[in-house]
Amino acid sequence: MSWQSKVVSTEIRKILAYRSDFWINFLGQTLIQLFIARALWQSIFESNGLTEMKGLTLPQLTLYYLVAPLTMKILMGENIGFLSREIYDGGLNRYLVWPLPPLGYKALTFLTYSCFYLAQLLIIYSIGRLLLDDSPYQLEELVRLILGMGYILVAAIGYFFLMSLCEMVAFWADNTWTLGVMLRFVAAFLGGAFIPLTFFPENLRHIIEFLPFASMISGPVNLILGRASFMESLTAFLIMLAWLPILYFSVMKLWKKGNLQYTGVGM
Amino acid sequence: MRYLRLYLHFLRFSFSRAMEFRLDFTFKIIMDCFFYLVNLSFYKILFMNTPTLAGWSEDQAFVFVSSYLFIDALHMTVFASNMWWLPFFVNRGDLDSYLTRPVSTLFFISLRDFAANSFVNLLIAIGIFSYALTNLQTPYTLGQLFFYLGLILNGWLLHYVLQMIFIIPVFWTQSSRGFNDFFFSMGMAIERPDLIYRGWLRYLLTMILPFSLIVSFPARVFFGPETPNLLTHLFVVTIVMWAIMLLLWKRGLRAYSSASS
Repeated sequence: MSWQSKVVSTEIRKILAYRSDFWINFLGQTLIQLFIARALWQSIFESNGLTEMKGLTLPQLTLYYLVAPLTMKILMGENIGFLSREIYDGGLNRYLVWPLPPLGYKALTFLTYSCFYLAQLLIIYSIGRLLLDDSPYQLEELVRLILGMGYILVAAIGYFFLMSLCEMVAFWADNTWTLGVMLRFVAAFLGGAFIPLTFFPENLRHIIEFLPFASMISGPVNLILGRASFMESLTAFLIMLAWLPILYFSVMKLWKKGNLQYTGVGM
Repeated sequence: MRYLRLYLHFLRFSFSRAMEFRLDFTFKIIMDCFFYLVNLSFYKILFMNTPTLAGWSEDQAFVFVSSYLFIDALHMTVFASNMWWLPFFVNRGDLDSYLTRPVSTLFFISLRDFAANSFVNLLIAIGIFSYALTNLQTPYTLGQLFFYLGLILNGWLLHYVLQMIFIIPVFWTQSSRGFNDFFFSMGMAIERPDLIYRGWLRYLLTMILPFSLIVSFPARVFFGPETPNLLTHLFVVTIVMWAIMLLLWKRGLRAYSSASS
């Protein structure tokens, strides 16, 4: 058994250690966010006497609010503190002496969480699609779903880099979870997890589309829901790919600088 | 008097601790500013696509959102840090040292840590709230404003009670987070006007888990017309929730085994 598979199985056991908490938090979060978002948009549709807004019907918007928060959850993987906590308390020592790449280990644990949530997305989306859209299934939908899931997984790597940049500030500062929270606010808002980007003013949208967040969240969500053509999705994917080397080299540079600062005794 | 003196000591310790970690102090202020900006932008974008929301105009919605930001800042300043640590205390058995002190454990673990950085954000939130009030087209008297502020403080306490109700199950589940994540998701319900909810969801958010009573009910009372039923509902549910929280807390302490898990 390679070290990678051992790490993955250990992380899955950790995720499932507190099962009741896990399922209540997961189902509670997913459903309540969906119901609140639907109630909000239903009220807007009804008060304006509309059946469609910016090309979206209420069931389509509901599906959007089912997939977008789950996508955000997948991107966030192991969540805030996955690296900073260990830098802060000196726990990073064990990764530095193990014959494994420390950042590779951290990336793998992070992505294990992402893959787990991705499986949840598949189940929840399938149920949601069945309940909210009565049109017959088509092959294109399945292709979109598979491509979309692959897209999200690549986006999770990008988000891992973004979060790592925030986490590694812990080499210099004592407490950095606030940076992770800031990143989450900005990513969710500019990525379209709170409001679909189509409702944003057009000039602002043109700028946002070139930032990594929109291509990480709206990009795959629109691909899965059939809201973007394959060409548009490919463009969004390429924008995200263009960000990956920039983020990767920034992470490596910060990691090297941070390691020079690291005392290994904790604070 | 004894509890007031104790709280003043908590304040002194919290401010000196905050000054020790200055970068952290700054980060937290910036984080909350981002939170305010995202919330205000959310409503700004919504109102670019609709003239009213649940019967409220943009200026009324602005007062509603800024009231929520005000409550959130108050909560972050007074309770949030303490509530963050409670599941860890239970999980690791650290609650022992609080149980043996000659003061109310609930008082101690709820108010021990005053977030000095959030106090700065509280001032910013008050600024946004005041600005929203100056832009409000609906006429109001000074008496109505003070009454509204009283209702907001009631909403702040209800917010605390509800979060405790979500955290206390940690005594039985032993996890290190409780149902905090679920609570934060439910927090979205506080940020939306209650009149958008219908049917069972409305019943849930105004009776069972009354998140809509925190800001939305006070805002409806403030914008008028007079609604005595709304006030009765608000006060009765608040009292019932306090009673439930205290009951759960007592049962939780009885179930507490002290052993770290």
